Amino acid sequence: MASWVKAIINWSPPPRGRIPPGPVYSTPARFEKHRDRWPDEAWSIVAELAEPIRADGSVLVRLRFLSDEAPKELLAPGGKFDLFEGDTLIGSGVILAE
Amino acid sequence: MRAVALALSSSLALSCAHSTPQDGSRRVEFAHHRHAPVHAQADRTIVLASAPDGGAISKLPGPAAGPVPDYDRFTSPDGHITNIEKAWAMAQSPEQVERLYADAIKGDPRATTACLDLESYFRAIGTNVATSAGTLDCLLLPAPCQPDWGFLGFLSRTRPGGIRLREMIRDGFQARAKELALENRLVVNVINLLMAGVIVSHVATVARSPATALPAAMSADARMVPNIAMETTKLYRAVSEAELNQILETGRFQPGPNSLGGKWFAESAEDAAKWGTLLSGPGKFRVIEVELPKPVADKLIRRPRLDSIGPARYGEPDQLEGAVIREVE
Repeated sequence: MASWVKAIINWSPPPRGRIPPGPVYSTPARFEKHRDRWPDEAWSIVAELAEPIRADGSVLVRLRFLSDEAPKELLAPGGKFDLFEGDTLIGSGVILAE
Repeated sequence: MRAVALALSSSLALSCAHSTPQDGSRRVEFAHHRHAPVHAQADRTIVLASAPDGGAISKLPGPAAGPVPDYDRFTSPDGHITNIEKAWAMAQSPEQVERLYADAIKGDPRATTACLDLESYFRAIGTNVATSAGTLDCLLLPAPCQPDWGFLGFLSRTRPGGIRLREMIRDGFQARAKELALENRLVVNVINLLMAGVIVSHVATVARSPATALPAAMSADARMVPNIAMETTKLYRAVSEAELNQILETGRFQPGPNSLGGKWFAESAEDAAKWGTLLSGPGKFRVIEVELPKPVADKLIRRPRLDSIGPARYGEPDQLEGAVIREVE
């Protein structure tokens, strides 16, 4: 069963960054705690935007792993992660306390 | 497996024949035919793969009405192209190209002449590219050369004017390749790359004015790259019904509601189905196969193990240009 957490994502500013066109977005994430395993082991997250993207590029999201096999401990509060499209860093986030 | 890219197929054509009556004026006729070549009665014929119903029934695009090209910038008053650089710049705009053809179909003599000159030019590009492919430099490489058609990315694959100009390049390439006795496999592969994603084509022979001596500088942009024995790589992707329809309509990948510019692909249909199940739920997705030249596929970002499913590759839209896309049944 998917475990949802709250998180804040800061989208990288254009032209490097891109803003998701829809309310649900999925891409591989590099978690700080597993940085040494990247990119050999990578997990996709699914983020549901809970609000419009703010002027500073940040947005509150509901977030989970795409796969149930992903290490849940990475979604503990304070966990930091980067989002990538290919090799392009398109945003960074942090897991919030419930 | 249903092919989305019907690069060399024939299905539907709308022709407008520009004849020259005794009074010197040109007449435009429409002929809608299926699986039938156009027998040109005059020296000026333009054949468009288009829909006579404006797309309402056939879902093919009709000649569109974009902004009127500034004919004075690139043609003489009778329509002959006088400034090829400016004509080339005009051709970069799909809307202008479609409008040019729409004007020609309506009977505008200046647009008709401009169309034919432009077609001669694009045909010359195909001729020159084939000539380059047959040069000693290319032939001495371990594998045949293959042009990079990326410089023609502005030509629409779904709208009649853009398709028409791609066909001109194809025809020029094919004719010259035949003269040079280039290997059939090379010719077919090169043409498939040019026409990939083109939904509709035709087999009509087009009668036309003698080719004008247009500069061929632009065709030099078609860089020749070694093609390692024409190897291709097949990748797979689970897509929603909406994304499948979008691909069918445009012949290319576009950002969707849950992705940005690029797309992720699995290396097997089975893995793609696993991702589809995770993203959309069991049975709520379709799997497509994407065939890319191996050198292109090798440049895609690869994750050896994503989501504990398997390897995945990421392609930006420009890397996916020219991909042959099929739906996996």
